[in-house]
Amino acid sequence: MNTLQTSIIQNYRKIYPDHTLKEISNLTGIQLTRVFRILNGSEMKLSEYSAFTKITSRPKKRISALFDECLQKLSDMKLKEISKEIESLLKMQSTITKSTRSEYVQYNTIG
Amino acid sequence: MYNITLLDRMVINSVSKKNKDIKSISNDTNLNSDIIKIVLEDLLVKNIFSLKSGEYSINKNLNSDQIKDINSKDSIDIEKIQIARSSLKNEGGFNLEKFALTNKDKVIFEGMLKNIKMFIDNSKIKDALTKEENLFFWGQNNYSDIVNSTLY
Repeated sequence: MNTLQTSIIQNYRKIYPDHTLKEISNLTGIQLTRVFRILNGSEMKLSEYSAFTKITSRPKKRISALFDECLQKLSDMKLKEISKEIESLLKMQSTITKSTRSEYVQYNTIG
Repeated sequence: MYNITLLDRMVINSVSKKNKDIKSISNDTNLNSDIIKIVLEDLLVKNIFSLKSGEYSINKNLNSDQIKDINSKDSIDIEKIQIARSSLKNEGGFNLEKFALTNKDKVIFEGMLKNIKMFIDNSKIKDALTKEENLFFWGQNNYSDIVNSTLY
């Protein structure tokens, strides 16, 4: 299985970890037996890549639309509350991401 | 303003008890040492921590802005929100009761809360490992006031 295909399937599994073959087939429109073959390493066709990425991009599109709606409708105070929490979550995610990289800056003794 | 996260705060809590190296912080907090390294880098850059002979300590010469950042209401509020949200997903849960009491029972209730707080203050183990500390939340507000305050 190539890297792109692995990444698309992993992405799908992150969003829908418990989906059965039948559910994947229903959602993507790909035949059940074909879904089975794809998950077991058979090379995806372009239309199948497209079907999977269309499904996996749905939550992000939804969040993006929600943010746009927040900017239009919520008060400045509410937006400030949301921003503060998002900033904090992003900072934590950045810490986790950096920690998983093998290279990090080693600091020399201070003080 | 420096954004203090839950991770930063746990590491600050751990080091504020006693200066530690990375391994000891990891043992005290049960956080992955690679994550701790990144948190420590950040706290060193912000000059909140110092590093001497492999041990991290809180910088004794923190300026008033740094102290304000660490103890700011915003930063502590975010910590409370994130702890409450995580608690909703954890086994210990987050309990909520909606109730009204008679004035007499209100006095009893207030007294019991004060007793609990006093019990915690008097009984907590001062040198406990950070990872063994429990998070206990309490507080009460008027139902209508809370709902009204979320409107604007």
